[in-house]
Amino acid sequence: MINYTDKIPNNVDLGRDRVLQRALEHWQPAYMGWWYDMGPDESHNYEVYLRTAISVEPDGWAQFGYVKMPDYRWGIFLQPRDEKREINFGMHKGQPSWQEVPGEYRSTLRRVIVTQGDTEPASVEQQRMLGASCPSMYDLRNIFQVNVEEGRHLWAMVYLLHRYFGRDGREEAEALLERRSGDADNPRILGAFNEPTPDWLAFYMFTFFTDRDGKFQLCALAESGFDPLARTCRFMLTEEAHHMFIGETGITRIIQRTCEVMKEHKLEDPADVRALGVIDLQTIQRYLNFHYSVTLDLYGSDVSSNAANYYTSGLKGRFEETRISDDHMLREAGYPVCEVIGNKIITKEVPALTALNERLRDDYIREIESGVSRWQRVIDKAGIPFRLTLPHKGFHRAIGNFAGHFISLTGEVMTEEAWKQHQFEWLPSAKDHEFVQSLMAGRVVEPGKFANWIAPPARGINSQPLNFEYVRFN
Amino acid sequence: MPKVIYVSHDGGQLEVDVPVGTTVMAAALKNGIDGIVAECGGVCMCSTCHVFVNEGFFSRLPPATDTEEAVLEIAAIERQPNSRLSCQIKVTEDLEGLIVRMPEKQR
Repeated sequence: MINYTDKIPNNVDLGRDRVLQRALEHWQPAYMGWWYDMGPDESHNYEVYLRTAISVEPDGWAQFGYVKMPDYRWGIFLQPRDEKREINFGMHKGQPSWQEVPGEYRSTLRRVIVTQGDTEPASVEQQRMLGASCPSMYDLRNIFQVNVEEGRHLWAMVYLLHRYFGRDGREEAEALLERRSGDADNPRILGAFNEPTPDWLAFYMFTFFTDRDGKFQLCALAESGFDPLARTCRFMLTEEAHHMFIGETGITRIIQRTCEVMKEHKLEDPADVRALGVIDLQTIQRYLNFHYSVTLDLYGSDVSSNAANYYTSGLKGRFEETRISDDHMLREAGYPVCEVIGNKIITKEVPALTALNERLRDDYIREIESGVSRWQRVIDKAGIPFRLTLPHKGFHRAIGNFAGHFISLTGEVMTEEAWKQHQFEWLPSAKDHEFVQSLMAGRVVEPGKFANWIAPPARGINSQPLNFEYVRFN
Repeated sequence: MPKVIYVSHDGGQLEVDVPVGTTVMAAALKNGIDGIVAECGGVCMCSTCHVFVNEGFFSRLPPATDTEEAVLEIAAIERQPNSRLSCQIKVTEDLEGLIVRMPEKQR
């Protein structure tokens, strides 16, 4: 069990390391300062029906109750240690997993942890204004749950920085609170985390697409030979699963509501659909195209010597590394990657070791396809002749082999001029954003009420009814 | 110790002795059964431990909570009337011979 009387709840026996404890207690006020400045706008006095982890075991995982978010017990939780755990891939395969950072990998590991850690506060910053336009108290509670857990993920990474990287780690931990999403001078590290999340459709897309990238990165890091990182990421995956649930069901409910209105009024023209105050399926498709393509960039270059080095060194594995049947060294294996040659996209085989980013991206795409097919079921069940599709992997890419090329939704190589003529058929335009935001002009917070553009969920949180007071505004 | 029979999508079967109180999911992971992923670690958050429970046993299980019902909606293979999350099924003596069929995919 986690001791919640500690200033910093933890299951890492923090009290036995006074220096570390003091360092983290010194960082804590800075974190709170960041939360007050950059956490959900005007929310600090709300009491929110939140889930808090009380142990890392399944039985004791979730406790629900009203919490003011600044009083949320952000803590440090690692999965229990397996004394026999070995490194499962790369040149150190078969050796005991590391409990301390190997000197030769110190700066690389620190960079990996900082990059992961930077995404956590970034998403809170991106979403901080959405409370003012929430479609229901249920949804407001959900975004707050996501926000506090992203905050906890930051704590998880900061613990590693403080515990294992000394002064450099402490400086990096401070810098994590100084960068700002979208800031021209001091932006967040990864591109997608500097994009605005201007409305709730974007929020749900973000939690479905971009949080899922987070999941795949965490899964790869949960294979790490550096055991504290692996155990930290393993626990973070529990929370990430819930964020993706919120994203997937959020989009499902938006589609469901649109389909209900289309069916009831026998409409198909997007302008007619919009006129009834719901989001047309074409706009949903354009948002999907945007969030999918921007998130694909997060996996990095198709061919990457850095990714190869991370793997060979035992720092970052593949998705489900231990379920894969091969040598876990990738000495001889190849992997297909795409490349644009002239006006054609060709596939060529490269050493699998250098294509690990691409492989992780492909794993991600398979799971995304599955999720999109579940949204399609809702449309099909309503009998509406519309197909949601995933764009070609090369569409709207800024990183990797497709960067600098203009690829259509279906994978044709185009000129810049021709591509731009179609840009707003494929991606949300300012007018699309304006329309979506016009539906979300104010918040809906009467218990049990939902905005017109989204269907209620089938069930409430923790067996509470839909008209439960999930947020008390005080 | 009650036996639980795991049936894979292609029909392969594996019988496992499961201590009373253990979840069907935890026993699957412990015995290296491939068809159950349990990405969230068994806290009813992800639907990657989805199983179909054989008719004779389904009615003997305690009903699914609202949370489980909600999470089943995002299962990779569409839920059926006999769908459950295996992380929510605790094995009891009464479930001796429990048969669970695993879906084609969990993600």
